[in-house]
Amino acid sequence: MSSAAVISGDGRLAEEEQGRVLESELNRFLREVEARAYRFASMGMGDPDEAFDVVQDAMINLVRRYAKRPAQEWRPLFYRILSNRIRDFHRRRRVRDSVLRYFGGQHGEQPDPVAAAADPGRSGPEDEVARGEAMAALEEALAELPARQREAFMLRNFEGLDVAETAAAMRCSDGSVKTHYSRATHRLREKLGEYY
Amino acid sequence: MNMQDKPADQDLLESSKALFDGSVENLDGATRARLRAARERALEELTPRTRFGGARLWIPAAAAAALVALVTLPLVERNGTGAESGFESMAVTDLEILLGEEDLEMLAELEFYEWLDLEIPDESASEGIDGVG
Repeated sequence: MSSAAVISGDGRLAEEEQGRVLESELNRFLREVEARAYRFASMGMGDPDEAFDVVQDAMINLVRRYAKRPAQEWRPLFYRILSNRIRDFHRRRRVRDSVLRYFGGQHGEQPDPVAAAADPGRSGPEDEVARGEAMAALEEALAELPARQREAFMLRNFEGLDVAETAAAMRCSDGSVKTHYSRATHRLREKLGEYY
Repeated sequence: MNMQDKPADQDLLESSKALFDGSVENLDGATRARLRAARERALEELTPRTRFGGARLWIPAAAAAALVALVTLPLVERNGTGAESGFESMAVTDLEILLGEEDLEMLAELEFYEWLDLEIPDESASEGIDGVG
């Protein structure tokens, strides 16, 4: 075998190894974020089924479009895609609700925050009830926030993204993130004062 | 935001995050299974080109094509001495046999010909015996 063939063969093996490493890293990243992303979407949308579709779509888009980007960029990119999809969902729902109102139909189906709340823990029944109520109240309060404030709050507080990462995910400036986050916190405290 | 707001905000932030984390931990098995399937589906998007870092998959294909060309070209050239080369005439003959309308009809009526083959000797024998003309 010529030296060129040996080098070519080695190069291909190295590329295949790189591919396997990439797949493994992506798998680990998605495994880490998938459940959180699902709850994130579910709380942001109030519709668990739609939330699942949105998370799946975000995963596919991340792999398809950004797999080759450095791994540290995946998180903000993933949440950018997810946030965009959630925003699209709200936009579509607003249009649908407008059409329904125009034709005198129902006023859009608003999800019941209590029904949409996650299974509240597995401790005692009193704790469960209290946690369930707090969760439902939190989801309801989040649902009432303007979309950008909700996004900023959830990305910063629930997902632990820093200001720059949140700004990248929301496609806005650091200053906007700080403003949205501060207002969201203020409004949530007003709404949820009795719980905290 | 003034300093007096800090503890209240901190409590809100920590409590709401704890609720969120709890809801993630308590996700049911069916949802987790769906998410795992979604992840696997997403990873399928790593096309061979991406998965193997742009591996040159055309190289084996090109090598195979070159090998076929190397083997067949000398055969064609060596046989191509007259107006019609052996290679070409052989190929045409095979094609004619394969595509000949009559042969295809015969294949379709094979059972009839088998029956005919069995019946004809008997008839000629009986003709001979009876002498009927």
